Amino acid sequence: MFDSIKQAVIEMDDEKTKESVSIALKEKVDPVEILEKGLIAGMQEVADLFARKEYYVPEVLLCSEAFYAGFDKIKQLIKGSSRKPGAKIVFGVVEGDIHDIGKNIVKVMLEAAGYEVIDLGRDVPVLEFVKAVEREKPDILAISSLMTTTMTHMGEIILELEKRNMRNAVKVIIGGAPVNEEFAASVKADGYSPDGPSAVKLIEKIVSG
Amino acid sequence: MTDILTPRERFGLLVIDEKPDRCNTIPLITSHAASVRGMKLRDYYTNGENMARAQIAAIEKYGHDAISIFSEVGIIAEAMGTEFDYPENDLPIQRIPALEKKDINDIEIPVPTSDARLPVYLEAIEYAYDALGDRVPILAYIPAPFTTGMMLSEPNRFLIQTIKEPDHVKAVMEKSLAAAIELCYHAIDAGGLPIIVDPLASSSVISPRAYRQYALPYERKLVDFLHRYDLDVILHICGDTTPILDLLKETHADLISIDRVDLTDTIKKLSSTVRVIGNYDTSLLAFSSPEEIASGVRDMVKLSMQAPKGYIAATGCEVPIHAPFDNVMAFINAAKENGWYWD
Repeated sequence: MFDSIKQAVIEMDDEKTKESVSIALKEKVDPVEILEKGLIAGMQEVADLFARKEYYVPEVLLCSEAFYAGFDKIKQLIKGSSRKPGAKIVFGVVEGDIHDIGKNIVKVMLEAAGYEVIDLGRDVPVLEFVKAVEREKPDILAISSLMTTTMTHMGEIILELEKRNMRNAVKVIIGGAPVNEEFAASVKADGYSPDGPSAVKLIEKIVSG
Repeated sequence: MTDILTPRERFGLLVIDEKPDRCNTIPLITSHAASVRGMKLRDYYTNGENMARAQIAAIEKYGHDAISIFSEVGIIAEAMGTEFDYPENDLPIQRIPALEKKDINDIEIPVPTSDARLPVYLEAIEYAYDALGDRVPILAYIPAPFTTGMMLSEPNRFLIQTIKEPDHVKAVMEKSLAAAIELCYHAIDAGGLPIIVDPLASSSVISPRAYRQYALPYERKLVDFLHRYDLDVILHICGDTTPILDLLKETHADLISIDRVDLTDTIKKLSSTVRVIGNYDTSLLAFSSPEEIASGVRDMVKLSMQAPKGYIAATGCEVPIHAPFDNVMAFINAAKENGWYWD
């Protein structure tokens, strides 16, 4: 049962995912279990395939579509259930950069791992990040940039948080193709991850202190 | 050591398998040139003379070995109908992709002398060539069909189409190839040496299988077209190309420029047939110190300059717009000092 949902996600098959979720619901399987043992288990396997370079971005996008197709069927049923939300993450791509595919992939992996993600979208000005931190009071601010030309905005966001005495209220993590450990250290970010699977691990580490 | 050759002579010797006085030093100084000239980015990428003047100012300041006429990979897609915003202090931002409004069959091959900002590029090439063309190679960056295809499309949709709608993607590739060839004609005519850029075809984005299916055949067609002019063709792919290193040879490109790949490994795999360009980490250029850069570049050049078919010291990706001038200078000085071939 869970295995067919999981496989449908891994096989990038949105129709089959919906179908398998429907069957499970008809058989009165707990939606939280459908989510965790089926859909999320599937995305975790997808994350592994991505990390092992067996899947690339297009494959992960299709798997994400399948995941959300199944998730939409159970979303309402899960609300108010026993599933506790994890940490809250505000997430966006810096100004001048419209490359949000990487962010979207990391987002689905974070949601699959149980985190609440507030998505600011792409081409987000420095002050919008700061305002979102003020408004949402997230545990983590995640910033993405795909271009060497725009990644300097990441440092500006962190400086702006410092200026407003908000830096200690939130952990800041960064990612994106041109970013690395050294860069993260130089802009005083709390962490860096190169892709979705490691972002999940990084956040787990930060949240558990 | 003082330079003996001009950058043009230096590049000329490299491509006929002779050792120049020193290693060609061509960090990808593109829009960073606007910072050197103290110019707003919008003024740089919307006006050919400004772009050329900024590039010339950068050459005068740093003394590197080529002009780079480029701002972003959307230029061909824009001329085919994708709409862009022009922020004052940022590069153009894709707003409405052409293929969200029109079918690929209804999109026309652009006329480089009149459509969108292609005339800006041509004017920049021409201006730079008139000013420095006898001494310095003028590199004209040409987005490859795969990258243009993604800029014509909503990016998520396009990537999904590479799996679900191969015929559509191939139609997009054919048209983008025709557009790239058209731009190349004019860029060469204006005095530019085309450098093909295909960052969105890297293994940071698509699988080697998709690269072989959609990117490689069209990169090769573009390279083969340029070979009719007897040009030495550079192919640059940012990002990770480790899984497709062997395939890069099949593009027929004469010089291959790499980013997030092990340089020694690349030289081992490619350098019996192609000249390798690369690959200093651009994020270090933005945020480490001149001393660290000098030592990193020295190591890189020492390790790579004896590559059998020659080597160009470069950055793996574009020099960040706001990279400190001292850092860029440190890169160039270190590459020159440590890359000396002649006694």
